[in-house]
Amino acid sequence: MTTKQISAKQRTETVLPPLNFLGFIRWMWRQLTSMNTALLLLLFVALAAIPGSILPQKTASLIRVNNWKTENPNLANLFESLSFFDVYGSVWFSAIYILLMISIIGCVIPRLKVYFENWRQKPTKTPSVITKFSNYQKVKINKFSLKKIEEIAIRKGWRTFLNNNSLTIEKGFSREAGNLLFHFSLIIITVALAFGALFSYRGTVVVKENTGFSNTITQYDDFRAGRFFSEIQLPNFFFTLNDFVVDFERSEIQRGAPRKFEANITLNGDENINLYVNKPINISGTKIFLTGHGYAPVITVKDKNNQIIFSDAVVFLPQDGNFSSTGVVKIPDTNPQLGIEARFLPTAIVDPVTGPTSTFPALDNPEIFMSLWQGDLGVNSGISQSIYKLDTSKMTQIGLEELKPGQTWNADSGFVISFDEVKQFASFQIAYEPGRFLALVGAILAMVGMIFGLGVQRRKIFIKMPTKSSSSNVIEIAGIAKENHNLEKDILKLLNDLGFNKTKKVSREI
Amino acid sequence: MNLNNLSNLFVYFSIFILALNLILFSIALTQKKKNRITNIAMSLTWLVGLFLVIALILRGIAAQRAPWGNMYEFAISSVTAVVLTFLFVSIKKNIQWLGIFITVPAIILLGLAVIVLYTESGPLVPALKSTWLWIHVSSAIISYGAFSLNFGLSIIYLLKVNNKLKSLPSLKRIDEFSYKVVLFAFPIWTFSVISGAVWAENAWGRYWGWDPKETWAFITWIIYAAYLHSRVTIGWKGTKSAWLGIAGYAAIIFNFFVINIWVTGLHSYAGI
Repeated sequence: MTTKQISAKQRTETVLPPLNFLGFIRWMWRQLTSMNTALLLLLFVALAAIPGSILPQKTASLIRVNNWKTENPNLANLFESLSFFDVYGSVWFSAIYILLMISIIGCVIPRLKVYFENWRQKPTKTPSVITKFSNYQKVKINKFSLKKIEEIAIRKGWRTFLNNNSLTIEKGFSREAGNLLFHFSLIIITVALAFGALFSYRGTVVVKENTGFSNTITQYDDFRAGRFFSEIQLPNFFFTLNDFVVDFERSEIQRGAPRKFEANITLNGDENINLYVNKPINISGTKIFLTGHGYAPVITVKDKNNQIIFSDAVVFLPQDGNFSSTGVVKIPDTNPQLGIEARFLPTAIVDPVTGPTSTFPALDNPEIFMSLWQGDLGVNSGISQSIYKLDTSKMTQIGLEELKPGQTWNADSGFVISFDEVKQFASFQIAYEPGRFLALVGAILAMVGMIFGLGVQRRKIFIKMPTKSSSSNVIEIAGIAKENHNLEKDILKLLNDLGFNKTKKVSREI
Repeated sequence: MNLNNLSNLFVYFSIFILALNLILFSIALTQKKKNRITNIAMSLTWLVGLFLVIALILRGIAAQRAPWGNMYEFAISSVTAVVLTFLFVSIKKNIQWLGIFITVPAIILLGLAVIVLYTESGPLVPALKSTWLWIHVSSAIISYGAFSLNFGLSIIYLLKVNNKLKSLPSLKRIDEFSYKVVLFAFPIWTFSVISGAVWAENAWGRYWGWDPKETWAFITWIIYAAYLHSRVTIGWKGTKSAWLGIAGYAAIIFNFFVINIWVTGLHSYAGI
């Protein structure tokens, strides 16, 4: 007993690699393509995906990554060097899934070979004794020749092998076909993802009402592209945002929740299109999506000589669900330089405790709270600055005011600042994803393969005639299948087609 | 009383009946095979199934859309799916012994839904207005229901391995049944992920972007794929399969509660 256990254990122990190089490579290959390794790699992919779902990712938001880093200075460098902020583009994540893909290919190719060999071969010859197989029974049916039984079986979709006085029929070849198709589709999907990662591009742009965008890299606020992307890929188009319509819920329930976004644009100067969320427009493969919106108050600044030194709609970034928004104006041409830091509230109330806040996202009572700064904006220092932030470290505040649309503020040093009106802006995502069709094909094939691979079972049924007769009304029948397949049902179905009914049963041995 | 409140009332009734069932199923567990208490509890479970369906329909009518717009509705739908899966399987197979393991998570989830996740019904935010909501979310709910069943079976299996609970079916039967449940749920889950990708391509311009929710759907998929794969190729069964089933369900729960509530991602607008 003990010796047996030890020997069984020894058999499962790893076989050491042979010493020569070729042998080592072959050993490595066999290890990599073994089922255990494939399974382990599969679980590793899951494990490796976790950090990227918890830590902020550069691909999603660079700002959040930087915030995280400043909040956790101790871990920032370590995590950065482990590419924890770009998990899905990191070397180690790619390494795991590339190994998995190789492992899958290594599994699939030999199985493909075996499958085609099996496919060409006839089912195996019926064993001489079939009493040991499952569901063995001796039954009385209509008088048939084996040839006739074979014909019936073929009509019912069985593969057959006829011998002298026995017949083997087989079904469920689509199981392995499904499995192979499934694994093959995984490779297709990976190729599609890789293709997409290399050639795709996506960018975001904020467009104010009555202004436009034309599709060149410099006009994007943020642009990301795959390694093999070239600028020639960008299709030629431009559009103007004529009008942006937004509706908010006014009843008590879910008050303030958006109900409708609609951007009316003119494409290429002549085509009028309404763009909705979830309904992108497609320009030769490149899609334009409506992704967000906000307010752009129009601000005009005049100096003491009544000269207009600034007049434009300024994009204010929404900070909460009620669209309290912040924005800045930078006027670098004055001496000293001038800056405005402002908060815009679409429905302003002044709360005695928390101060001015917005209570509703629509323009019910728009107000702007400005503070005027004078000094050095820091824009000439060469370090790139956010257009949404004012660096006030070298500036002094020279005034504070709140304005409603149409109001004017006579500020210090002879500056006259007016809040003319409120425009809206919409943000668009423009994306080109070349692998998407291939990925969809891969996904659909994977589904089909999976359904066959999981749903179908391979099984064989053996039928024997009494010796020395090729036509009889008493046959022996038995089958072989995986335990979770209902073989009894298959056999009963076949017997019914052969005119069997239960009362005629001759004998049943277990 | 508006439809919304009426819907809530049906949810409260369901919780109340489930609490009663908790006692009944517990008693039944100590008894010999088929008994009257189990039958009463099963009838009551049918009532719960009916009430939950009514609650969902009322909520759908109140909001004039599929009742899957926020976490509260999604939680109620998932419980309904679990209960209905259990009930429909029980018509053909003798699985009354599972009752208690359906009842406990159902009470917990409904309780959380009512206390923590509750939101008044209302129309959808524009990003969710799409036919894909029906397709993507309904398939997710169905597979969540089946995976919950598998989770219950995995727990039962491990309990039975450690101390022989007499009134339950054999280990082999529990194991095979839980395998079949995954066999059913896995393709539907795959479909849900794929339809999500198609929708994402439509709404955000990319079919896969490693958004936290997507990542955890992927992790869940991998764990159940490993469950099936290990069973077929290297013969993992019983205890090992049960632990994989629990791991898969942990990923689902993590995705539903932790990712929805604490992690910022594109799915966040669904609202609590």
